[in-house]
Amino acid sequence: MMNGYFLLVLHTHLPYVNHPNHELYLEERWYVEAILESYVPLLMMFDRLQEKKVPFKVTISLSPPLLEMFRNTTLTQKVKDYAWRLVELCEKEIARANTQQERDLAGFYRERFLACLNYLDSLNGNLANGFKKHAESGNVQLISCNATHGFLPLMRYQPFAVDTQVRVGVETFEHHFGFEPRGMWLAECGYYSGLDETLKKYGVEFFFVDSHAFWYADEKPYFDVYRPVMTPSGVFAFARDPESSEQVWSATLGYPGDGRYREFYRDLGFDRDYDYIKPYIDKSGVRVNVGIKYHRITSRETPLDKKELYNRGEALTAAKEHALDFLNKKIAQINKLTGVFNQPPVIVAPFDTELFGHWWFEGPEFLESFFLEASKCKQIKFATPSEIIEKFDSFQIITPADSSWGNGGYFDTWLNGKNDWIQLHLVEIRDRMKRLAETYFEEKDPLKVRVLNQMLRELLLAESSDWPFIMTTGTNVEYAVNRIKTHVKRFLDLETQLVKDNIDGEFLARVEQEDDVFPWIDFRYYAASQIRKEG
Amino acid sequence: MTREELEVFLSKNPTIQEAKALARRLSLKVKKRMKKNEVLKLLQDFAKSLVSEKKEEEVRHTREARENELPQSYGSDRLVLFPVNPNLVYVYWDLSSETLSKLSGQKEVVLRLYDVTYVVFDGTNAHRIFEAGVHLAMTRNYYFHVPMANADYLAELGFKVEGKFVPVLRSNVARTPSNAPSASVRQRWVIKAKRVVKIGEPPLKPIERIRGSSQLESGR
Repeated sequence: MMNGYFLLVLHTHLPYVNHPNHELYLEERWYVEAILESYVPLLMMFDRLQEKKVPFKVTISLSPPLLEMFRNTTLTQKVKDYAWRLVELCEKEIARANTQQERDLAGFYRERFLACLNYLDSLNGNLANGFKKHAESGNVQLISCNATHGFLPLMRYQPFAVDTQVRVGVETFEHHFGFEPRGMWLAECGYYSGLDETLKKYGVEFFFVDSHAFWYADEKPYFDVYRPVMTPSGVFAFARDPESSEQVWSATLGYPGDGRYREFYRDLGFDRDYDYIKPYIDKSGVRVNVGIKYHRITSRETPLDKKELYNRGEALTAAKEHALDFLNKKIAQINKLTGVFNQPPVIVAPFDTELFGHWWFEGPEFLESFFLEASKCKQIKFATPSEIIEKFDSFQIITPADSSWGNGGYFDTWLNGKNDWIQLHLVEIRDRMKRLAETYFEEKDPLKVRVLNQMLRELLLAESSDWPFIMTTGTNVEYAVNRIKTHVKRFLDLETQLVKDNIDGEFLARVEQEDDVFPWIDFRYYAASQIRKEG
Repeated sequence: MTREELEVFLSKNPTIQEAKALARRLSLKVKKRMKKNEVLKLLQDFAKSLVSEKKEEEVRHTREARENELPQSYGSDRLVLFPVNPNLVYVYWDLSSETLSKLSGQKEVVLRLYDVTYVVFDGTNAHRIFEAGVHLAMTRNYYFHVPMANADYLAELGFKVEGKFVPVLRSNVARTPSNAPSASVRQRWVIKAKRVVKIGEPPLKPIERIRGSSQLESGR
């Protein structure tokens, strides 16, 4: 019997949010939540699978901003401090619980946060070590992402900007892991024809696109989305299987909506008396989720205040049932496709990592059961992209269509009436950076070099696709607007100081401390004459 | 919950049960015997108490916003065109003071979009020409709905004198993304490191979703 291959791809990214001169910032909670709810639980799940010798393969992209946050000890300390406060809150909760069920739930969270803290310590506070461990054992293929998750199709008319995004993406990965990434996740699956040449230039062997990038390509893909293709420059493209994401995500049939799963929107941060919860919510006094949630979805129609208490055992049963269901669907799909092609299909299922654990609390356990059950059957094989490229000896050559995995499939999310104003500034500062990089190419004065390097950091941070995305979706808009303005303003201020030879060392030191990404970066990347040095 | 969210809730004429449930969630002192009006009053008062907090936030944000105010223009004389989707392109301009004064003296400032697919544009050989009047004082950008996916477009900003178009700024060429399977039946392959060309249709047809399609509410 013929096999089919299944590639699970977890795209892991958060924008760089670092406010070292403040207490835990509201937006720094994105990072804290992702670590406590997704990244650590997933790593612990990988550990369990490995201990049980269950074969599993996962492709994980770790975006450069995220890797830089992993390395940031101030942020790690904030994560730990917050986790300790949650342990303290759990202890208060245990003392005040009225029923055994509530006491058990509070105890469950206390254990969970303590285990997280232990795990962080075991990795010396840097989660990259945890991912690296599984990469070395061969179960995980780690790949990079373009520098600050900039949306590349909107930069294509300034190729030096795209070049630097790709280059810094590759370099950040090398700095953290000590080896080159073989693949790259393109932010939002944003692709345009010709981008493959830049990827090729920096040694990237494969990337991912949405399904219609294959369907609407210059020539029709014989294997539909079920076999990677080779672009004209020799880089491989993998396309998303529309069925796998639909099965997990669908509003009507999707797994995470099951009544037994934990309810995301019912949180102690909103449930408890203000004075009691105040030490654990935002420092401004605004109530926020603290991550302790005692209720289950119950049913979609149940109002928030009528939700029933969470039962961990039942939730895990649901995860197991759903894993089996998903596995059966994959096997049926593989059989169907094998019938059509008479060749093993390659099913690519990419997800945002934060779906598992953060949004869907039981997501890591779902994946665990899925791998466990799949290990008992022969028709489905897990593989990494590099293994797939090795396994086949025929590939179609096509140019994928310009596309993204955003709403509508193109560029609308990152360019519309709510965020189009940013283009004026981004296009302008990129051109200025290029001119300055060429003018100051031979600059030796270390202070001026520092200014120029910091300008490139500000430019890259302003390019993050997260800011226009947030403006489109409408939550935390002020923060996103402010971030773009701050980075552009810092760029312009530094430029003025440089050109007028009037550098404010104190200002420079402050922005270097706050926007402290990519310490090795060189502004000369932006100069046209700059070609990547070998070795 | 913000003040605005609370006001929206109150404006929807909630039932007494809903109002009480919310008040409890907000940790307000709800008594069993309270009438609907009393609960609503409680919520309204709470909403008002959120005002001062919000204002402080506003003051802080306005201060930050003022410090971070960006230039309105860089005087760069640039016309930049982006594809947004197969049927939409976006163009913005940033003018130098010379160009601005040249154009503001004109009665009829216009923006042109040319379909220049597979042509080397010389100002006269576009497949199609689209035109839009522009009020320079009011706007600095424009979204064109365009008829062709997978087509090259180019924009020009200029003015008209006695019906004749005089271009002042020209944009880059932007290609709209494709939205349909290729009409070609050619397949290029690399088989065991050798290049092979085949002819034929794939055995599967993709199941596509069409942008902007939706169920009509009235049809339910």
